[in-house]
Amino acid sequence: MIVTENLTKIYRVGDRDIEAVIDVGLRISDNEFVSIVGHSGSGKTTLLSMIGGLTRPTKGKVFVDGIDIWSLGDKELSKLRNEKIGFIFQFSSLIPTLTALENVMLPATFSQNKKKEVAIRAEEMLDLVELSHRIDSYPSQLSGGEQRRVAIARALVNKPKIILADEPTGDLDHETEKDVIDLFLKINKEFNTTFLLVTHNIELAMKADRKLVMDQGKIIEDPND
Amino acid sequence: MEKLSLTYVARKNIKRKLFRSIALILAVGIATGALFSSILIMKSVERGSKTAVSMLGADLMVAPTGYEAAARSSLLAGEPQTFYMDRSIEEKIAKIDGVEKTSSQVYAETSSYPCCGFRKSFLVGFDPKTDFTVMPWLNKKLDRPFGGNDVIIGSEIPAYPGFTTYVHGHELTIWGTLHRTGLKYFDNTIFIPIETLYKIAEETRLNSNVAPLEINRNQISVVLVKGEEKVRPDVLEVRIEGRVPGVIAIPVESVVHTVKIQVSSLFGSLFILSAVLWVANTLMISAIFSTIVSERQRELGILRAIGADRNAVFRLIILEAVILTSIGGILGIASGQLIFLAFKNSITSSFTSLKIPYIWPSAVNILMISLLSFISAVSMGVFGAIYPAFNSTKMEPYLAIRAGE
Repeated sequence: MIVTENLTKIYRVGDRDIEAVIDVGLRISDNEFVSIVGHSGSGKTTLLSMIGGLTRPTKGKVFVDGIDIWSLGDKELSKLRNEKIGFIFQFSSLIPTLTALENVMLPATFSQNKKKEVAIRAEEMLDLVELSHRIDSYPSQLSGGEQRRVAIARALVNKPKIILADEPTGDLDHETEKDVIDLFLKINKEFNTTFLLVTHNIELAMKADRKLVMDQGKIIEDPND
Repeated sequence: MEKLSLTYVARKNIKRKLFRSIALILAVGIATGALFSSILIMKSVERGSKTAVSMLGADLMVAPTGYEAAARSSLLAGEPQTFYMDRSIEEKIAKIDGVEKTSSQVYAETSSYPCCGFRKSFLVGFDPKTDFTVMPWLNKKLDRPFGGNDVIIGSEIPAYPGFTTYVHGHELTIWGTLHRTGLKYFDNTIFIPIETLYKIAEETRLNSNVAPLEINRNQISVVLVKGEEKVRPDVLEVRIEGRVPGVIAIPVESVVHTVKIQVSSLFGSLFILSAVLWVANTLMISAIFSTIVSERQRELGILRAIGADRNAVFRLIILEAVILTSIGGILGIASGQLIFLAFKNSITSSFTSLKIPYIWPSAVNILMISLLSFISAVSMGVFGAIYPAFNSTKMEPYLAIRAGE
């Protein structure tokens, strides 16, 4: 379960303070598929980053399975990201010098998991995203959709409880976008993975169990409220 | 597929900008090669000088006043020199307090090629009764006592015990050979009993068919002095010069010191160059890795997002630098070794012509020099990349990922 309390992020730009996220309180149950929609600059990505342990909040707390993640040290927080959270970004986030399989296996480099098991799991994940025939391809040899699917496989390789996806279909064509979202829904159901999807595409957001709307750093619409 | 690890990722990153990596490897290789060469040369000269001193077994070498440089070059470069003083000087020195033993030597040179394809050799007359510098280094010898018409030869002279040779027309038997030292004074010298040498000199005056040997009985070139254990060589030096007029006493240790100064002035610049290259390369590596970190900010942010902690990112950057500089270091050391191996003889000859004794360091020493040079190369990488690596860990993962947008 993910819980946020008074989550706030203020950026200092020159001599001005910019409030990116203001006092967000949120509760996301296990296995829930939640989408966040909002205009560009509404604070969606910043909120996702704070929940994922990528940017420190100015104020407030984030609990993942009851753990106050921002009270953890760098090592523990990195371990939590490695084991419990999978990230999918809005751009190609693959390491260009590694093959598809190596990219998927990469999180295991930072974990205690047995490498052989991870290799098997990585191949299974590439099979799940229907890319088992491209395991030796480098990112530059893959299409945008294929790269995104490799990133999804990588996000799943350590069997995380939570997937945080930030505009994962932003630069994909409509057909590929649909495939990716269908894959998310499949993963959500099959692996009981909690999904938090940030998108500006209302149609996609509607496919989630719950749709939140953000504007000017605040959640202005939440069916649970 | 190779085992996926930080080292593997670092190696793959190195291949990404191949030209930049090769340029960096070459720069480190040149600096390491220069350092390796300068240390090797210094160590070789040091070993040569120390061997000369220890093999001589004497604390002081006493020569006629005005011939200090000639005496030094005889010892260090094995160059035949002709300077003489009266033999009675040895007796006077032997009586001085603190002198344990003395032995006279007479320097000359062979007139031509006595036999067996000999080169022109250094001819040293020594006194077998008092000698403490030649006999201890015998390698092979005939199974009979040393006689008046016997000689001992250095390892570079191509002859064996039992061979016959001629010195200024006088037939002599090679009685023994010395161990190889790398020093011409020992390796290219014929050691002959001093009385026999006087006799040959007298014979040459009567025989117009052989080249004359201009030495008179009672003439000696140097007296080698071994001091008592409690007496310092510099004290003995003052005593000898004070009590025996017309001589100069040269502490043999000072010969090494002089050579060191000589070599330092010759090769000190190579050391300075190595140090300058080290600093320049470290700064260059720092600049390159600052660019690398900046170029890969998004990737580093992604690595953090998927579970790399600050330490792992730091290690990744340092590993890349260490791999590059290690390759450069190995390349530099290997090139240095190959060059020295290929030109071993001409390097030794060049130093000998400069009157600098040169003996290659032992394999263990060369290994130690290689290790030291390698550590220096790797330290360029570590020191150069440490600041960019540290900087890369300071940025929040989210900001690092956004910085690449």
